[in-house]
Amino acid sequence: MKRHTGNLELMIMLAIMRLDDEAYGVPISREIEESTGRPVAMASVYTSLDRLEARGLVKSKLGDPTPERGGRAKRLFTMTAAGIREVQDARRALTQLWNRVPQLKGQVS
Amino acid sequence: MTIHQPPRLAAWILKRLGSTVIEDALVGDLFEAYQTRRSPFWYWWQVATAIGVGACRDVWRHLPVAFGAIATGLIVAAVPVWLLVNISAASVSTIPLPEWIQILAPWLVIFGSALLSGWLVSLLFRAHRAAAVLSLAAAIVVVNGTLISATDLGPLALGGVLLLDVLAAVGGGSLIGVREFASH
Repeated sequence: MKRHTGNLELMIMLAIMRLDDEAYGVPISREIEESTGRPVAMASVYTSLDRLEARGLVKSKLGDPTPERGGRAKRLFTMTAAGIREVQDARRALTQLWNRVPQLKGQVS
Repeated sequence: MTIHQPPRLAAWILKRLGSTVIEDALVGDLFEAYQTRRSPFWYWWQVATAIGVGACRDVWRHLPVAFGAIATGLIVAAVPVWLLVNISAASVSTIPLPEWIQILAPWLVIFGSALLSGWLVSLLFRAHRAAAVLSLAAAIVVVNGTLISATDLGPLALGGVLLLDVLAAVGGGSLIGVREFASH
């Protein structure tokens, strides 16, 4: 059975698409924090990323270690075609549901 | 560029207790984020979450490890307490000991056995250390909480004892060598 994509997972995929080649833990978390106005635990982001990768929606590769990271490598993420489809499907489903709620008509924050 | 070192104790705990699912990249991300705008409190929160989330995932993926760690750890922790109750009462009580030793000894045995069981579990389940030690710590809290709540200890003292129990078990588990990030 196909699994529904959670809120955080959806936000992470959108952040990856926006960040393009620079999508790794720090900027992804920053994007989410700036959008939601709430702090996010990096470990939760990684848990979601691992889940997304296991579902084939994102893929990752290791970059080079750098001194400002304590000599540790970045794990860079990119979207797969299936991931992009998933985001589009989620948007379509949410828009449909949104439009069926009269109280929310025309309210886009 | 000046490099700001994150809180040493938090970084040490992350290295010592970090489970196999806490990866190099996450540790690097925390280090990088700390350079820009983060506080020591933020770093501690991230480390606590990383260990907690990592351990939960580890426990879920390796349930037999968690059960094995709980069974082993509780047996190891229970033996000294059992000896204290059944043997010392009969033999040691005849030796005239200062009152403070008589008061302190049982607590030292309880916390010492928690420390010993944490150390042993960490040694035996080295590959999934965080999951094993945190499962054991949770089991010790449940078991000791149930046993001690039957005594006349107040809620504040009970909380303190359980906290010290957890610290002893986790401290014991942290005594085993540093996790090798490179192996991931």
